[in-house]
Amino acid sequence: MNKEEFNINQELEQMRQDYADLKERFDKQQIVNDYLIQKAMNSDVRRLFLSKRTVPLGIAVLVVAVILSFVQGYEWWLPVSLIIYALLFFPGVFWAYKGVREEELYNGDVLSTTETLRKFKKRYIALVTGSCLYFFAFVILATIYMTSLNISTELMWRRGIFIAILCVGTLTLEYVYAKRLLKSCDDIINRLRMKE
Amino acid sequence: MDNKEQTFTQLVREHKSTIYSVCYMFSKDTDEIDDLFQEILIRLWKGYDSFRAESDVRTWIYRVALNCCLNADKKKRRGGERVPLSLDIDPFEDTNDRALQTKRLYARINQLGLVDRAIILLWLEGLSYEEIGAIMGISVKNVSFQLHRIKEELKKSHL
Repeated sequence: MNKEEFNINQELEQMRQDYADLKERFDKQQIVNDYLIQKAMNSDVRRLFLSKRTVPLGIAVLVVAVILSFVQGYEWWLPVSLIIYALLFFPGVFWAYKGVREEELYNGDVLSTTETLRKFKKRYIALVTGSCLYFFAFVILATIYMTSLNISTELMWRRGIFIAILCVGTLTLEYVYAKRLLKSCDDIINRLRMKE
Repeated sequence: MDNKEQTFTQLVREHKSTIYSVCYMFSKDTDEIDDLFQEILIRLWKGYDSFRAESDVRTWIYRVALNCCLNADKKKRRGGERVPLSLDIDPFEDTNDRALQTKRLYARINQLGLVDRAIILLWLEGLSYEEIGAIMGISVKNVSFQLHRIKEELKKSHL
């Protein structure tokens, strides 16, 4: 054993000793209290994407929006676009969650859990990208349609542009964030698969 | 409290320092530790029924804890109340001799990437290569390779 190897082995042994001391320090602490445990037992796991209430709530909002569109006598394409979006988006959510049981997800080993998460995030990105493109196409077509009928006013234009920027901006942020999470999954998988 | 809740409470008390050590090595401050610890407890409780069919409790706790630390969506902070943990010490702020020793270890481990940090943590715990492999989802041969690589990395940073 050369001097360099001896040093690193000594250093690693020192780290092991430091770690044992650290755990001993933590062992002497109470750390958990009854309230914390009770609260954990009564809490839900963080959802990956939508909470359990989002889908029923989204359907309810959609139904109200469609009814209002007819009652207020809006153009036919507005409720129809909403219905088409819902018909594509809600099955998309179930597709994204396929094979992912959030409550038991973290029970698996690190590699398989990360692979499952990566699959989910890829589907999620597809869903967000689809939504983004749909809204973008909707705003463009609506603008062309209203301009051709000469029913657009300056106020309508401003509102339309504001809504379009808001939707596309929100979805783009979600997309960028999901891409970042996907990259972290890729890094974990690549690191663990180095020798496999 | 029913029997299942009692058994779970006992299990958490027995392994509190293990869970806390993992949270500490993957956090920047005590608030982050509190959040991670709480998240791990929730995940352990939700997965408790499916775990009972399995064998080793320590392996399961490490799996859940490391999955939380490596894959935690830090953008989504837990809503509502943050429950502080019951400690007289602050591993980030204390300045006595033992705390300095702890900080030195923290600095050494934190210079590594997330996966390497997880593997070296399991090695420092004294787990066998088989156990590390079962937690990380890799073969024993791969564990040996990964540890060799991490030690080389530590050696380089030491020079």
